[in-house]
Amino acid sequence: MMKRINIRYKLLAVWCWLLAMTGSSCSESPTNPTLVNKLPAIYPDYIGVTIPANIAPMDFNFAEENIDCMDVVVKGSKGGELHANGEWADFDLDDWHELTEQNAGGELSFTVCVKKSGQWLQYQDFKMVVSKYRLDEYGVTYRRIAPGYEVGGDIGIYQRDIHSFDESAILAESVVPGQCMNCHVANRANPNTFNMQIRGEHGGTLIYKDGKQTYLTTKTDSTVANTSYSYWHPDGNYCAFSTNSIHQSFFVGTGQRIEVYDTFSNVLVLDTRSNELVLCPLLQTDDWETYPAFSADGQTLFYCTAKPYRVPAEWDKVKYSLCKIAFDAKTGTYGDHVDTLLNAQQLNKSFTYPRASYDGKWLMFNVTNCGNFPVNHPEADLWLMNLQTGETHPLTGANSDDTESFHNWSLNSHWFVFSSRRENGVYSMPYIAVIDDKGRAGKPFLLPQRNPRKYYLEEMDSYNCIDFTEGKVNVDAREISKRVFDNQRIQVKIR
Amino acid sequence: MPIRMKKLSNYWAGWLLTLVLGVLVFLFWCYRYPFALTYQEQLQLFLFDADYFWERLAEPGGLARYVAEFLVQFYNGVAIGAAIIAVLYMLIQRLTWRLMQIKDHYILSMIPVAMLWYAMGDESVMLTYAVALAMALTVMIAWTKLAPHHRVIRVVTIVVLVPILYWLIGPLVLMVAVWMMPLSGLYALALMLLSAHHLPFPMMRVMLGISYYRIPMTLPYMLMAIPVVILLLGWLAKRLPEPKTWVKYAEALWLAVLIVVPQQFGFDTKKYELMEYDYLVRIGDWNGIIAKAEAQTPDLPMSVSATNLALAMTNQLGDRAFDFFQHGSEGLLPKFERNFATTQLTGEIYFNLGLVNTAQRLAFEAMEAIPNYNKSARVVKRLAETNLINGEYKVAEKYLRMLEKTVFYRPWAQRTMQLLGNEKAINEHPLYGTLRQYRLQDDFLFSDRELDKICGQLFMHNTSNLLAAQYLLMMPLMDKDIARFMQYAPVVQNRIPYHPRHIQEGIALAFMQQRQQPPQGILSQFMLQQMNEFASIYSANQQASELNKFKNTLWYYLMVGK
Repeated sequence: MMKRINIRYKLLAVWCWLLAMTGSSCSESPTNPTLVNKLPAIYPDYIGVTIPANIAPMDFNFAEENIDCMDVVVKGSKGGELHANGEWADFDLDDWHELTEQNAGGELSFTVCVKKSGQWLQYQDFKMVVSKYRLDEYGVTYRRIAPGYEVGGDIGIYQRDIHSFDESAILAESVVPGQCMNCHVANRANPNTFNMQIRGEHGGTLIYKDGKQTYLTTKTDSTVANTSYSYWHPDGNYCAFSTNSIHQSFFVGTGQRIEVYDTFSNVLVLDTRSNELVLCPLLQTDDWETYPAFSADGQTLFYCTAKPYRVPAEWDKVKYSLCKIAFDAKTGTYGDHVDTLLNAQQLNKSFTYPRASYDGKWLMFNVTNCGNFPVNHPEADLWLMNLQTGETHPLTGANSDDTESFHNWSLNSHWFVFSSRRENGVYSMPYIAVIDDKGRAGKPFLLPQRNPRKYYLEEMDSYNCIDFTEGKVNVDAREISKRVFDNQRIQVKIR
Repeated sequence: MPIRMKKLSNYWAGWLLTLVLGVLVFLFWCYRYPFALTYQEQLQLFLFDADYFWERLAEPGGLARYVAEFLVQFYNGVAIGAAIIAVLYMLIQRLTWRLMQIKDHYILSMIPVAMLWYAMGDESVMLTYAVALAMALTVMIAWTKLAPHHRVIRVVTIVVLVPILYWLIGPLVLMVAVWMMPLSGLYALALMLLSAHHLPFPMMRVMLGISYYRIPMTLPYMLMAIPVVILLLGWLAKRLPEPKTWVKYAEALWLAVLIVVPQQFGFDTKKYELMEYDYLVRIGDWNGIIAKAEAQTPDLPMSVSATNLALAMTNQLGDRAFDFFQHGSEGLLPKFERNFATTQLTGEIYFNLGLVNTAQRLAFEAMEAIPNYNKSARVVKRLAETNLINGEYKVAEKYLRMLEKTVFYRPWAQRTMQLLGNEKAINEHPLYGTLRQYRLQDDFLFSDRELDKICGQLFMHNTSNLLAAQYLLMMPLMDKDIARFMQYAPVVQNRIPYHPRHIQEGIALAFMQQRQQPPQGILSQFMLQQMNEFASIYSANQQASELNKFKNTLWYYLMVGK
């Protein structure tokens, strides 16, 4: 009996010791750290980024994996202090919010100590700037899609609260199995007004306005295909679309993997009140018009247009100019002429995906060597046009050596979200950057995650069509599923 | 025999029968359909990781799925996989037996397992179902022994237990609930309907089990019938009279029929043959493929492609292609299809040809084609390889780090991690280094209508790429296009000495069609004699039986074969 008790106590003791070891393995404070004369290598690279107050905690890992412990002290230039200690820098949500709010317009200074092989090392402090510009939208919406090209796979449209780490599905593939969902496009980040394209056997265009779902068939005798890329008019009644015949080809060599191209495309506007298409001969030419986007006041429709070539053979000759045409929402009519803002042939570049800032000052767009699908072009960069002067410049602070694309503005036009492949060249990941009054972008930051290295390492999806959303999108996915499969669609008419 | 001895003998006889069942199941999976196991393993990526566990636990049936996926990862070792299934079947049988609670009619307890065995002939039936069934049976037995006697406590226990169990094992909870108290079946059903309203799945999928079957919203009738049979057995067994000897024999015979006959119908031999071809391609057992093809001529697109790849990898395609069934150049490079198996196999061909980007693209497609959206360890490995060859080390590292969290791929991942950024080591690597040299440097667009030209580019880029040379020349021959073949033949033969039998046959035929003599030295004397003999028989009678001796020639394929 004694022997049995002894064994039990011994086991308990071992268990307590193990527990103590686990608990203490990474909770000690740095003692006599050796100073290292360089900045810490952290993942994600948050050194020098500009963040909004109230953003989710900017947790980070030490880039080198084999460390015993990490200790981070954050001090605000306007006061406040925060401490994180563990395998990675994992900040308390409420404390972080308090600190960033307190230091809006100031800076946060990070002191990083790392214990390696029993020895504490202290790196040079680094800073994050807490912008004076607010970012009070609920979060971002995006489509998560694995880099498959022909098989739809596990696509889903998701939303993420940018002030915490909560992600939820707006519409996941599991709800509408076998259907390909194209991007959710909201009207100025409005969670109650958006459209979405469903492709496949049960295809259709979903128009969602204030809780009402309408499913349309948008191909008519006068238009060549169903609608694709879209942008809402600010009044919420009209939505501009392109109708494209989209194809893709794959490269055999060692560089770019894929080219997505159109064999025709036009631009038109849908009146969502009457489900009528408003056509314009200037946007229905033999050239390829695509990527419509309204200006902030809704009086101008920007779009891109290219001369047709024999694709895919002449894929690299297809270059899109950036144009605009007037639009009158009161009468639903277009202007009588087109203005070319950037001429592709003259500049020998392709300008696509225009997005006007909501304050009416800027137009952000993609610049690539050719084509209309920047996400697949490693050279794709973001550029800005001053809509008052017409001057353009690259967003140097935000661009990288790899792809930047799928950009959109925050409601106050001081932040923009975009996807970039700078991390590994294959997966598009979500970044947010600040933009100042002169149109200069700050260093962007990767969307924070609780344990970023683990999260992004195991993430097998790309993020595309990212946009801000003012509030949480509350759509009845089950109703969408039911309506998608019942195949009842309203045929749009031509006005 | 004293009663005690008789009881003991019955006890051991039962165990012996269970053991026989286990051995049969083991032998069946280990030797008859071993490649079904490796096929299953490649359709998942089990990570030893807390997040993976919680991700699985986020949906009904999550624990059963997690345990099943944990077990399936061992299928890479076929014997271990077969043993796992055997133990699971034995467990289910013994649990069924314990549930029946009567000593006789032991053989009846094997019926659910026999049904499961039959059902698992469908490769889309997930092990999750078997695991959930074992868990459900365990709870039913525990309930039988430990259920509270007080009615209120009993009801309260059911109210608490059923939802928990539903979340752990999925809709098989219905069987447990009915067993506990028939009316609680309605409660379980209501819970399932309620969960279906909140879960991001169509109702049908939730009701049939999210992870019992690989294809969403489908469940074979046999799997639906198993719980019904178990409940019937549990109910019936108590009411059955003591069986007479002939009844026992009849039960045994019935069981034998139930096990043996369905194995012939439940298992699609052709499908499992393709799985074997796929596995052999995966491990690069080219001689194994050829031996298999020699034993039984492959006649499905996938097996033909695998055989042709094996012939080409052993440099025999030009000599032996028409020893086997051929049906056009798609037997060399199949067209893209939206399913995992063919896409992955096609990707293997492109990979070996040196079309690394195309192989990578097909790997992505294959993974997305898995119906339940699982990730695939095999595909992730291929993605790591293609990126390593392309020098995309960051993304290659991403995949390798994931594979480091697996049991079977961990050693490989750790070894391969050493290659990251090490240009010299990669260049000297027997496979990756070679494929690096094979890769085309100029970017041009892939066209599945010009595959022969792409093979031509590959060969011209690197004349040691014999696979490309063989595919280049055999493609027009298989398409019965002698003129195109005659354009390509000099391209190859001017650069490397390549004169296999079918190439000579093609050249001989081309000259004969032109009524010209081939230049001296191009064709062997024997080949010319054969050609003349074939031509004279053929011109006399196109259906002549003597032509059969030319069955493995290009001429027969082109002119006689259907």
